[in-house]
Amino acid sequence: MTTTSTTSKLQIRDVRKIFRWEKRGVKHELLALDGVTVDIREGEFLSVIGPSGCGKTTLLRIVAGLVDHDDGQVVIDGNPIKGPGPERAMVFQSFGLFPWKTVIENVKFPLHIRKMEERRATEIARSFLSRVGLEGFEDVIPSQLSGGMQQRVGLARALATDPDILLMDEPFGSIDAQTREFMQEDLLRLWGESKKTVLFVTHDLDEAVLLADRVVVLTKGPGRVRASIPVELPRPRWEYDARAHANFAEVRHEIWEMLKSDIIEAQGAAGVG
Amino acid sequence: MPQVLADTPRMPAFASSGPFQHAAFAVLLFGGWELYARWMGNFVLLPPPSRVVFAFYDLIVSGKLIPALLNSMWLLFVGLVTAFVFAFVFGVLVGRYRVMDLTLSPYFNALYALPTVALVPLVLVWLGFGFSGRLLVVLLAAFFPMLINTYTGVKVPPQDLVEVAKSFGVRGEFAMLRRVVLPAAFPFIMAGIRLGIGRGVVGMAIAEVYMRLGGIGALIVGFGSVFKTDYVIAAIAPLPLLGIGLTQLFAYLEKRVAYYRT
Repeated sequence: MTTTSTTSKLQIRDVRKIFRWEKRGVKHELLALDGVTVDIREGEFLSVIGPSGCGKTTLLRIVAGLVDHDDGQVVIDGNPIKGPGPERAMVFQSFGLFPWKTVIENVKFPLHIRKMEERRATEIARSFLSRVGLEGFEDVIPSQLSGGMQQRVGLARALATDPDILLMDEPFGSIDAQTREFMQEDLLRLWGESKKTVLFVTHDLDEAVLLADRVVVLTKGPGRVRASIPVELPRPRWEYDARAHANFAEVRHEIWEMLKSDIIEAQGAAGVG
Repeated sequence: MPQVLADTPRMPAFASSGPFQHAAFAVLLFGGWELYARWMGNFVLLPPPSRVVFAFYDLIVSGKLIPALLNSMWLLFVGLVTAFVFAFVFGVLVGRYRVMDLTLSPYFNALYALPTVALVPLVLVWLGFGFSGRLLVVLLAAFFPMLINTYTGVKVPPQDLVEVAKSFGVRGEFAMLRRVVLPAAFPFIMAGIRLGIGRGVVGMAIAEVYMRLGGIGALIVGFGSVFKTDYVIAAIAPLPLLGIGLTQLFAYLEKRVAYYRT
């Protein structure tokens, strides 16, 4: 299921996460992740999908170093992580742009934290903004941009730090369907240029399959790896209608069969279905 | 601590009806006052606006009003700046450190509920009629809105932005304050200053009337004791104008600087 090899970039080993809280003196516990193991190769694009509440975002936040885990290890290039690190950069679902900073200042933010020289930081920020198609929007403030454009800024900001690993937490989840398709295509293009290792969390099955080399399916909470399914679609995928490819339908169907029961159950529990 | 004062962002200092409505109402108000005062005929009890305007003119020409006003404005300015320094420091400490919140908040709440005038006799005993006593009154008046707004602003910073900063390598309380917490609290802090200015003007008037024998307060008390009510009103008039003017000026600056709030 998972391949352990010397080229493995990021290893998630037996990661467990228990949320603990106290309400009116009563202690509560929730097992969110129950021993998740995933191996990601250098340059691999890996999607993680699962029904809502499966802990996929928690898993990503653990890899980002924003949340502690209770057991197991996250290993990058052979070193267990301790908190966030410059070799990782995250793209947030809510974009996470500073509303008081202009677009270019937002992109320069991580570069400033790294004490990069101002002129160099400006140069890099400009180049990445133009790569995500935001040339001319450098001095605009985020609230004047559409959701899709804001997330392009978020993407430029993450890429500008030149990370080895790009962590994406449902980055297109709050963007309208049409814009999302363009963003997905652009992401494929940018990834094709840079060959970063990508860990992409989503609840959108089509998106997971369309983008990834491999899709990891989590069980509904507590999250465990249910399957790891390679996606055999020729790249570059923006050069043809990948959704119309026979393999796309096949992989999509395979994963859908796995997710279906969990999703229906989850909807029943939430009183929707 | 109590909630932030007023609906902080974008609250106009006063309603923004058109200049025509303003003018029409002013004519009605002051015209009515003029007629009523003349019909009543007791200019000591109720001087008509025309007499007040003349008194105002006389106060300026005789060189009494401007120096007194400048004197009082200096007190206001020093008071506001000192109040802001203290309010900022304590607001950040109490907002960011739970221990400070638990220990200091009850006292701040108690003091906030206390009208500034009630403290005047005490301040007089402690500091006398000098500048420092008057400064303390202005400071106490302006301090709390500034404190509470700073506190509210830094207390719950936007969690998503704190995470963004963490993920990109911001470490430590001071760096987080500088990069995220204070910029995010900026609109709150500005609104606190604006509200503080209004209350500072009140504090200044109290300090000047009760705590000294010079400045604009002395003018007011002096004319009052000889029943020159037209002069009393003329001497009081600059105070609300000052309050409105400064508040409006600050609201304008606020809009210019905090452009991202649109």
